[in-house]
Amino acid sequence: MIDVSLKKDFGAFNIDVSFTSETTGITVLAGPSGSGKTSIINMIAGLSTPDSGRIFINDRLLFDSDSKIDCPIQQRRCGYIFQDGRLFPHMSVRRNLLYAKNSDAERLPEIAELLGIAHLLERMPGKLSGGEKQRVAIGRALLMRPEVLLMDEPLASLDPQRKDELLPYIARLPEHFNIPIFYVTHSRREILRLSDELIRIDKGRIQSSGKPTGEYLGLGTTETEGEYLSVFECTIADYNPEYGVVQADFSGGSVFILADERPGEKTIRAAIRASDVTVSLEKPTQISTRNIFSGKIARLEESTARSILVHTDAGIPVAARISKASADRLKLAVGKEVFLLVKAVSMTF
Amino acid sequence: MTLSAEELDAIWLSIRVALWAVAMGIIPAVLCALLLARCSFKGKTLVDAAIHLPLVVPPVVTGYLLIIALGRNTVLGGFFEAIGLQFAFNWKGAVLASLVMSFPLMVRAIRLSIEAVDTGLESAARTLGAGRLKIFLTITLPLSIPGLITGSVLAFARSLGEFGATITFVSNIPGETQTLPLALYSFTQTPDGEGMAARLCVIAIIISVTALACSEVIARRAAKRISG
Repeated sequence: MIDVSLKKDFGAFNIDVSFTSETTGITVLAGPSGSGKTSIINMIAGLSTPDSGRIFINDRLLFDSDSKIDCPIQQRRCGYIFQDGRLFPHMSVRRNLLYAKNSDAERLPEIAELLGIAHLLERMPGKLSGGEKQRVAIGRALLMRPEVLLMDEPLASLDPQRKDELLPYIARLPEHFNIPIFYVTHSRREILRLSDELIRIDKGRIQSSGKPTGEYLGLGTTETEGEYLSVFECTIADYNPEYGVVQADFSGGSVFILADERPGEKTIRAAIRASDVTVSLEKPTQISTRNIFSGKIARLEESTARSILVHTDAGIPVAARISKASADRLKLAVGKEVFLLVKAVSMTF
Repeated sequence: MTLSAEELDAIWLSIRVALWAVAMGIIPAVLCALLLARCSFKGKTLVDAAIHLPLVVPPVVTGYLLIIALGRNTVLGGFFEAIGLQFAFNWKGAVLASLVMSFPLMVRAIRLSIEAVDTGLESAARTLGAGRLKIFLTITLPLSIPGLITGSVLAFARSLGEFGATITFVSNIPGETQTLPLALYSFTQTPDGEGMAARLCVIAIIISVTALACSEVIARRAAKRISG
């Protein structure tokens, strides 16, 4: 159990957040760059000091400004995975993995196997690929028997291919290690793939927290007309390798999504951008669009000067962003039955 | 080419003095470099200036200050006398003079090397439970080895060439304090000494170039080990 409340003034902006987490899964801290998410986990790890607040991890009070408790970094037992890996360049992978004083040497073979680094143990970090380096960094943090794992955009410095290679390893961590993981990112893909809980942060404040499904404003900000997302869970039903099309089922039907290979997971989270959704009053035929949902308008929301958000219930909540002109032309109103069209190429997971 | 006993004495004395100066200086130099590179404290500029002083004042001044500081009536002189160390007019004094003169060079090289060590690695080590001493011994120091090598070679070369402070502090006694540069100087002052002076010149160059070459090889190996 983690209970955190932090305040820190950076001059240009300040952080004021508090959250608790019971889960031993992955809690994603998401937000645009400069929103303060990395500062938050740095304060948890002790790498920076809050002006005031308290940090509780599994009944250990690590920081409390009232009683002037400030546990030194090296005693906090927060496994930290940095964006740039930070392996010690003059030590072999094995020595990196076992660097921590109380590292769990007995679990080394198991953890190395799980992370796919067992064959790299005698290599030097300079000879590893970016993805391999990050896997070693994850292993090193896990072997110190941490109480919590903090990951600061661990995929940010990797190219897209390496990201895909590393994602499954991270997704697998919660089932093997019974510890809470805080994961900082601003990538929608990582949120969809990894998060059990999503805490959205902007300008040093928590905007929302909860499950990563449902409708919410994506990682843009309101001013930049961020991508409004509808996220829902579905199970993989079929994969057509010839066309690279995944068929995934949800309570209201099936969706088709493009993917280079069959996803490893049984269930995935699919995301639809509101601006990618077309609203139609009748069910179109002879059309290329594969995903056609029928739904009922639940709410119309003024969004920007010329567009509105049409929130619908199609078994799952789906939002469409359309122009006001079109909304008036179609005479959209709450309760009206509509069809929602999303091209397979616009769906992501 | 055979060397006279006097020349051989000067050569061996020089090498011995230079090696001792490096050996005695290296640990304090690492500590000073660490202090200057990684700590901020009041009076840091003053400490920095004091360390660098021998680099900027005339060597004769340094030698003279050593005489004053280590005279029998001073605290420092009394302390060294109490532990059985006498500097006046013997080779240990030459070591001290070389050490003081070469110390700033050593500190500078090591400091640059420590500053080049990514502090991110140090904070990563801290999150892994390492205390300051462990971080210094396992991360900072091993990664600064190229600077230690460079600093030692610079100090060795500087000690080999040390003249002004040595002759002022411990005079020019053949077999005791007459290092290579001092011998060279004496030969140039003697009639028909030019030949001997020229030979010592060549030898001084050979020793320095050899030291430099060795350090290059060692530094390259160390760098290779660090980067894997």
